[in-house]
Amino acid sequence: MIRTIDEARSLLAGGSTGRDLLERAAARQAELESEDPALNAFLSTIEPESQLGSGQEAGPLAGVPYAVKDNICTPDLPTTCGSLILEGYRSPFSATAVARLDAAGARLFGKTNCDEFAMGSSTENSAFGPSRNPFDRDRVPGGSSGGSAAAVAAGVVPFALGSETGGSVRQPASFCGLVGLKPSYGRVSRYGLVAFASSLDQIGILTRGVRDAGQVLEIISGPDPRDATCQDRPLPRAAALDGVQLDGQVIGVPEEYLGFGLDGEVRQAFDAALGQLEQAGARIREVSLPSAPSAIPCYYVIAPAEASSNLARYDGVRYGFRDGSGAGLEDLYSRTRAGGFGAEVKRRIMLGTFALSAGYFDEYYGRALLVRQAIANDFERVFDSGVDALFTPTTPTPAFRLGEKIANPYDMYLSDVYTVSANLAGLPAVSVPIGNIGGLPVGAQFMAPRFTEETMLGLAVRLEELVGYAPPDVDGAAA
Amino acid sequence: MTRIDPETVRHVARLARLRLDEAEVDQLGSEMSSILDHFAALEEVDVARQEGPTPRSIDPFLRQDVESADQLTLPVESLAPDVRAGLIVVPRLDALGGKNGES
Amino acid sequence: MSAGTIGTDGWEAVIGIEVHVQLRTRTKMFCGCLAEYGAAPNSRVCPVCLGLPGALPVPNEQAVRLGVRAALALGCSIHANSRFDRKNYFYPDLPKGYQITQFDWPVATNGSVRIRSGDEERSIGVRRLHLEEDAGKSQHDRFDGSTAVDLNRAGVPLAEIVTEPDLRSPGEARAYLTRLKQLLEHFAAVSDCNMEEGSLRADANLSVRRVGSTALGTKTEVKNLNSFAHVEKALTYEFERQVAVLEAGDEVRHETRLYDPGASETRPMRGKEEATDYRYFPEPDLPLLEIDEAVIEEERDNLPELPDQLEARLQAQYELSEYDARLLGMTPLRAVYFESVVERTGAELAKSAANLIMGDLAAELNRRGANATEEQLMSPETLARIVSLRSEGMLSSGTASEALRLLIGEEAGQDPDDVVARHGLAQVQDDSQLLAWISEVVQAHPDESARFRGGEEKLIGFFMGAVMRASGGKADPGRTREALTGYLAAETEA
Repeated sequence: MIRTIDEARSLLAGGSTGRDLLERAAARQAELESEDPALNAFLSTIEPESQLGSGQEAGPLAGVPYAVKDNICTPDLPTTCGSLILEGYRSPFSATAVARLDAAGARLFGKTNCDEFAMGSSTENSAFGPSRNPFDRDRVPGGSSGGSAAAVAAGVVPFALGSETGGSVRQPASFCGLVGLKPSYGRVSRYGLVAFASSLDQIGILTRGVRDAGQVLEIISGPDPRDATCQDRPLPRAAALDGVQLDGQVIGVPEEYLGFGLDGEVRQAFDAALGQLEQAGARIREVSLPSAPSAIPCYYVIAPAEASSNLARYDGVRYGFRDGSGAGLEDLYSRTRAGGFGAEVKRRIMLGTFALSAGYFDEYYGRALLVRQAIANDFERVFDSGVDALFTPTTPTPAFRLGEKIANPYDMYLSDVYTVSANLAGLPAVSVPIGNIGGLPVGAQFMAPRFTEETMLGLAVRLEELVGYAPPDVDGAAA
Repeated sequence: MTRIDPETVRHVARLARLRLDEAEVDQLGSEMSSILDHFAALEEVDVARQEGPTPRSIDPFLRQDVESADQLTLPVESLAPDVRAGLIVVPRLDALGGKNGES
Repeated sequence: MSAGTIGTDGWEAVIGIEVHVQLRTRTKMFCGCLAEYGAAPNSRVCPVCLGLPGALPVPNEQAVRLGVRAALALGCSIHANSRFDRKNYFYPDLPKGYQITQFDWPVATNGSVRIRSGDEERSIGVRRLHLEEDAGKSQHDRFDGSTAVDLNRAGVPLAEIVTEPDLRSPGEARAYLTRLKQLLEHFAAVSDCNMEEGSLRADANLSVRRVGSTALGTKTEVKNLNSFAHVEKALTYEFERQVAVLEAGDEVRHETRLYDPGASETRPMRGKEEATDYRYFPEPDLPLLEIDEAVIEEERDNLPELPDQLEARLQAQYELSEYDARLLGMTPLRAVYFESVVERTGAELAKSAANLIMGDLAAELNRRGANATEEQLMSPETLARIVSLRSEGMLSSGTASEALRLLIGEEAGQDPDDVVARHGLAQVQDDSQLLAWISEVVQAHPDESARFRGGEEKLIGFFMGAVMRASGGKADPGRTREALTGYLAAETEA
């Protein structure tokens, strides 16, 4: 196993090469896949033998293996987005975040499973079968970045990139006992992140510890001439995290977040963590985000609307799957898309197309844009009142069982109830494990003003230290 | 209560170029209806209408008018299912004219 | 078929025009691919304009600036904040399944273009100018049963310019397009406006109403207009067609019609008219488009004096006809050339300079084609010298033309006085030489001379021609006529 970046570094310092670490990841991966049921965390992996053994081992992450969600472009491995419509598709270019990791010396090990086009909260919507929760294989790892979470939690790689549109990094992090970081909108280039909902999407990071997430964030952040929404702001420095003290920090707890079907034991774990923060010197303040109950509907209008447009390019004309069995172009379009997309993607394309269509636009999409502004204003008001960060549970429950929510789409949507607001408002957020419930990890999240990742991650480091949680190694037998 | 009738489902599916069978039309109709019921919460928020385009809190960014190095390093043939003489080929539209009527 | 034949008396056309012009940038609107015409199919494409997964648009600053400059030339208000939107539809030459355009908040609105319509000037409202990307090109006849797509044009920057329904006749529509092209091509210099290459495309809509009515009738859109002449012909046909429909008691259908230049008629677009629903919404991949006052000022400074003002000034300052002022003000380059010639000759020779520019020089430019300029033919100094020599009587209109021909051609760049001297073009001012030619001619034609003396005075023309020939064109016609008349009269008396 390679649990953390430091573990990787000490292996490298002990004489291992980058290729050795890739082999170690491959061995661990093979072990996990040989079990029944398989973890199914990866959709493709590189062959360590084909990689350079040494040399080019320079940079802050020299030789450290990592995994990338399969909706992020990598020229060396296919990029399928968990969809049949892109089965075997190989991007001719690297996502900017991946290129920056490569330049920092990190080594791509594999592409991880995810809900198709990142639409889902369980990874059950992958066309290539669900990933499983390493701590209970009857349960989901969360989603949509479930494969990335499972891969890190099971110790295949010390960090993985995921993507967030409404909680797709934080929720699986919470389900798998990991740190899940969703940066501010505009912090990390989206170039090469296959778009689901462009105004919400952001590449995120899954690690075992906050400091590792901070290191990766520093490397992948920063402006990119290929993404007009990526902002030029001072980089969040990993070295600064230890300078953040809890003492005197004002941490807000939004009352609305303690509803929404919050599980009693999750609530207890959250209260305990909150108590520890307070004891350590944080000032806890109850706050209100009155628009919070509208976040899920708002999100499930805006995200599908954008998705319906973003996914129009999968038409069988220029690349990817084509079903030309019908007659004429219209048939080619509708057969290709019917055959290439799975049920949830179709559902969202339908919802989004409906929300934008003549006669419904104002009632749904137009209204949702205004509500989104109201949600952002709620946060701004709270932060302007002197609150440094908000603290809430990440998910209402621990990991649920495979199949438990698949029959009822809206129930599934509600598992994002605490996470979508940060995406709607463009805020950074980070989920940190705070304990176990019946062997299943649960997390809590900080949300902070835009571009204050340094402070937010500093608080997360303090919480991590206070809680002292480390996810157990999966399967004692595993090395 | 928003009821999405089969007619609407078919119209939306047609806009989205999704071929649906009748069972899918029925299922999507009822799923969409029940999801839209939850969206009533959107009406409960006090919102302020504003003049001009909705602000996005993103600094403007424009690129210089210079050629980039992002040209495809591989020919279109390696991506597209049907390429002839460098052109991407699809079945002809059933009715000519489509968008602009121009060729 | 002219507008009179079917009888549109009592009816008036209400026309609006939508123009797409390709902005003259090096690269595309949202990616760094070359915006070139004529390259091998699908050779100017990248992940962005191919719509590959994960690629993102980034707006081209120069395209934005050219759009602003064009809008300023049309007198539009430029909006500090505008927005890109997505227009969603499926078409094989539209790689992303949407076009990035501007819908609710265009970069500029509320401008106008002045046109001449018969004897009056009319102001045509420009409702909006917005920026967008072009689609690729589909060929439906290349392979049997298939559509073949070239995406080199996909993503090329366009400005779409939409008028108010202010045009009242097909002729006005053509006048508007001519003026618009002049403004965009020569004054704002934002586009080459080449209709053959598709860098200027026009669509029109037309409805009719009874003269005096202010209501708007049902309009039809007319597409496939590949030249300004086609616009005028198609609209004339459409005007007459709609009037005939209404006079027969039927209703005009709201539809899109294609112009068939072969048959000079419009026809409904084939295929079922499906109600389009483009589902416009704000482009989430892009920030708002913000335009600083400084950019507006810089682009304003990039504009020369605009035609309306330029023509009025030329007319007043040089006492030219309106017609001359319009021709000289056709392009800023020509106006500058004219003025730098006149600066050297003095304003009193402006008309003479104008005549040479619009006569001999224009004819030569016509031969050379689209991009030739007066300055390339000869320097303003050279032309000014010719104008002066002509006014001093040193050159006749014939020898002036000959001098210009030489200075444009084999003697290009040479000193004009030198050329006139070497080619013996100067009119002879020496009376003894003139008299020698005259006496030679008169003595060579005793019969005519006798008839002239007998009162047949129209023979003066015969003698004039003969003297001019004898002089090789160098005799000053005025002096010759005077001297010849004197010589013949003296002979009579003798």
